[in-house]
Amino acid sequence: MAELYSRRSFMVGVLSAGLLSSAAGYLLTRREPVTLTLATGTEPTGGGRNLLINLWNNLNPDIRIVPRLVNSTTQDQYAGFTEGGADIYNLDVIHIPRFAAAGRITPIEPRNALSLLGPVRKVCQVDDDSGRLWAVPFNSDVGMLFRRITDKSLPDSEPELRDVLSRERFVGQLDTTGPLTDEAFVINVLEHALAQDPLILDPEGVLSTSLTQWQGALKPLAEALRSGRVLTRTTEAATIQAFEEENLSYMRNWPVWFPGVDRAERAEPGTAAIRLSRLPIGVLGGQSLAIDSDTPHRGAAEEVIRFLTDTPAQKLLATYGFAPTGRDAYFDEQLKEAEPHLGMVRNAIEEARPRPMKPGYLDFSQRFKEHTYAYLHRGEQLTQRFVRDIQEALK
Amino acid sequence: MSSPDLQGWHVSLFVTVAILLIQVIVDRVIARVYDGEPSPDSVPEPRKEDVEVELAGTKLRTGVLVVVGGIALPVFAVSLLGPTLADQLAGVTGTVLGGVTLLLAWRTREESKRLAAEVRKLSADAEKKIPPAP
Repeated sequence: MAELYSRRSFMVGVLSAGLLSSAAGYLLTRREPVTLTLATGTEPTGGGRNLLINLWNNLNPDIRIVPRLVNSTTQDQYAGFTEGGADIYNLDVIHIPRFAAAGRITPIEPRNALSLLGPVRKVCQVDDDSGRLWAVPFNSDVGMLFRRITDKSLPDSEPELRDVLSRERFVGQLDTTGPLTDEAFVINVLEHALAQDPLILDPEGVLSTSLTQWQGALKPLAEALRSGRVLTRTTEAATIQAFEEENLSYMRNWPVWFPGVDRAERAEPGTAAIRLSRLPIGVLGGQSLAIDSDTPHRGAAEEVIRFLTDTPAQKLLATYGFAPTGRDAYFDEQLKEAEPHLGMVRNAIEEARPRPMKPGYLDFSQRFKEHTYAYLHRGEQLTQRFVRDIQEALK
Repeated sequence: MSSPDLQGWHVSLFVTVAILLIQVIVDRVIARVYDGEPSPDSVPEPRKEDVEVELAGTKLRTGVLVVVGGIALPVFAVSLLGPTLADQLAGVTGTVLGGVTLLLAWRTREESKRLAAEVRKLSADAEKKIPPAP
């Protein structure tokens, strides 16, 4: 009887410990699998952001991210993103005010907000001194001047944007054929205007309303276009194609294209190097991740956003050419060694100007494009109506 | 967890099953080894105090088993609805273990009743053995 008694005691002990710990584990730690939809634009620049998403999915089987690619233009991105519904939106900076004003996104408590570069934080933050962000910056962006070095023994003059207008062999996104290319045109025109007159757009994203100021700022570009010294293209890819095929000396493009352009040009016998330099004042771009106000998975969405935007993710994106959003990534010694131009990109972002951060930005962008396109390509004069229209759109 | 569907609570459940299976196997082996050995010539008469201690232990064990089985059975029965195969497998295992626990509780209670009867019998025997007062 003593032997039987001891065996049953052992079973009771094992069952009690095993079942109670399993039941406690089930009740306290069990997670229901969650699938988060991430509405995002297409990524023509390589797989950096997709790689991060795949990394998350492999490491976190309980919370899966399913990207929903939305082929949209600046004008219809709001409708495209919100129509199908999503838990997380990957928003261009200019869309944040509209999504916030419409109540489609909810503020986030950021983990590394102090590290964010000033202009990057400014375009995302909630206006209530709480330190919260409408969207957490995923990657930043600012226009840069690419230049082809044909002989390294010759002095490298590193000209400014306004200087290259007087030389031939420059190409930028200074043409547009429709909504898909309008925004690139607007940004390029603003950059040329800022190169002539830094007060045309202030650090708060407020545009000048002086017609004479605008006429003065855009005149050198208009003259360069009429003289044929400047090549115009509609898209970033078409600009790169022109730069490569026509062996041009200068190109305006985003730094995210640098690794690809640099790699391709290294094989060219006539090219010694491709270098980057800053525009006098760039226009801030980039994407940020925001949480849908109605998502039932807010906690999971925050976890995902923290992973995708934290410093290690920034460093990984930087190797794909994306401009990091926080200082910590720029201070990484190994990264600085691998991507020597990053310091320059950081300085360009620190001094970049945001586009007008208003819910009516899309209307502004459309009217601005119509007036400046007519002026630059058809020779129609800028009139007081131009100023009235942009003021009205940004009310 | 690195395995896509395995969760922490599955592991402790499967380890419990593994320990119980090992115990059963070891028990069988030991029983076979001692099968040919002669049993002791005489079993000592149980003492009332020892049986009372054993009865208290059995009652305590019954209570513990009822509590554990009462918690485990509904929890793991619900987890049977889990979305992954690992969830469902753990749900079946946990439900079976919960059932075994309640079965053990019932058997232990039966044993308690038997021990209680033995205690009463030993008390009666003891009273009979006491010589009447002069």
